[in-house]
Amino acid sequence: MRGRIALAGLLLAAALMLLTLQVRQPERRAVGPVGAALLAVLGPAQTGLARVSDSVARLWRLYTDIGRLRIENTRLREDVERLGQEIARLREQAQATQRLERLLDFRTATGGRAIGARVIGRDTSQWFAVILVDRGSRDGVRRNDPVVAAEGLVGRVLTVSPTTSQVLLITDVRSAVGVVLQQSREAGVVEGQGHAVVRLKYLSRARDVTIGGVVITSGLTGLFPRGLPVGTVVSLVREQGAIYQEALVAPAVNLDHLEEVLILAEGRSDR
Amino acid sequence: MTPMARPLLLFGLLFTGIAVDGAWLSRVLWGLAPDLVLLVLLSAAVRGGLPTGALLGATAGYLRDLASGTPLGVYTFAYLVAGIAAGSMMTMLDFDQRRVPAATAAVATVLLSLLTGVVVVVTGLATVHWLELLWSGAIAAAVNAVLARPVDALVRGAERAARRRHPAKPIAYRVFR
Repeated sequence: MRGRIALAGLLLAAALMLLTLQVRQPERRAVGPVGAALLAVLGPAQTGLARVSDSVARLWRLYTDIGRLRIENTRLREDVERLGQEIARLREQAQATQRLERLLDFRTATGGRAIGARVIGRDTSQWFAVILVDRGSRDGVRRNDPVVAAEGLVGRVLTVSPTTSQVLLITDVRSAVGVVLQQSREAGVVEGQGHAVVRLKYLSRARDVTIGGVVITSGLTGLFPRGLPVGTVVSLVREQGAIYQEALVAPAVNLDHLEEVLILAEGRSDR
Repeated sequence: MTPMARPLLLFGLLFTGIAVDGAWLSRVLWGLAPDLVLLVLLSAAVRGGLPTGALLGATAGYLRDLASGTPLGVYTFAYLVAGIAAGSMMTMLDFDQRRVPAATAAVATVLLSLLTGVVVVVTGLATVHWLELLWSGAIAAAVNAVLARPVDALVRGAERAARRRHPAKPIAYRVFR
């Protein structure tokens, strides 16, 4: 027992002595050869451990970064998709607004009561050209009412139901519209052929018809108001021996891509 | 286990504790780092007695002084006192009881913290903010209390492993007795 106490006392004394010596000049920390040797071993060990911990920390950061980036990537993809859809929707809206603005201008210029209608269907047969619009007799639409777009004449109402109407396009073989050439005031009739272009008939051979001439409604048949653009002359058809000359006219309205139209409920010239 | 195997093993554990403390645990924030050296010291001292506690305490403190850059002797003295105290309580503390290692570690951590503060004040090395010291000591005590049993099991496991490597040698359980 004495030996143990003596050992403890000896160590305490040594520690106190070491402390006293060091405290007198704390800035001159002398570790001695044993301390230096221990530090020489301890240093690399600590460096190795620190490197290991740094590597683990780096790996962990990488792992968390990957997770974070994956989440962010998913979110950004969703954002891109959502924004893409929004852009498409806004573009669609802008185009619709432009079309409607043009229609509104046209309606203002035309006067009378005009009913805006959305094209909700189209005849898919290759012989007839009929579209279905979402306005009917409940809205005041009547058979043979003229139908126009911002660029010009579309056709006339063929059939009316309470909520929808069928519109016969000017390209339909059943369609005939009384017209005049805007420049020469030469009268004729535009008939549909079931194609993209319509045929202008009954033009006097004595008159010169120019390519690019604008064709407008004459208002003589009683169905269509005067002065609606119908199309432009794209070619002339002169047959030998015929009393009249004919021309092919490209409709002013792109009838294949109609989305909104105006039904001129009070636009007929016979009213 | 050869007569020198146990001291070498314990020194190795202390050395590893110092290296791990310096390289890893010193980076832990808010004083949450455990004092592995103290835990190894307590386990070995309570099971080994006063001489083991004194020698290991002095060694642990000296290593800590060396590694931490403090004036030599500050931790040497404090850990030596801790080792002597733990070793002298060998007959009173039963480390096989579930809560004894944790309680011993908690009390020892706080006392060691205070003792270090006293040494620093008495030697005039620095000014001690006692409240901060107590607060960090209490946090360290809680962390050490949690880790006391695992570290004790580690120390015992290492001793058992060392014993198995030398089955023909007599077991010097208390090397310094």
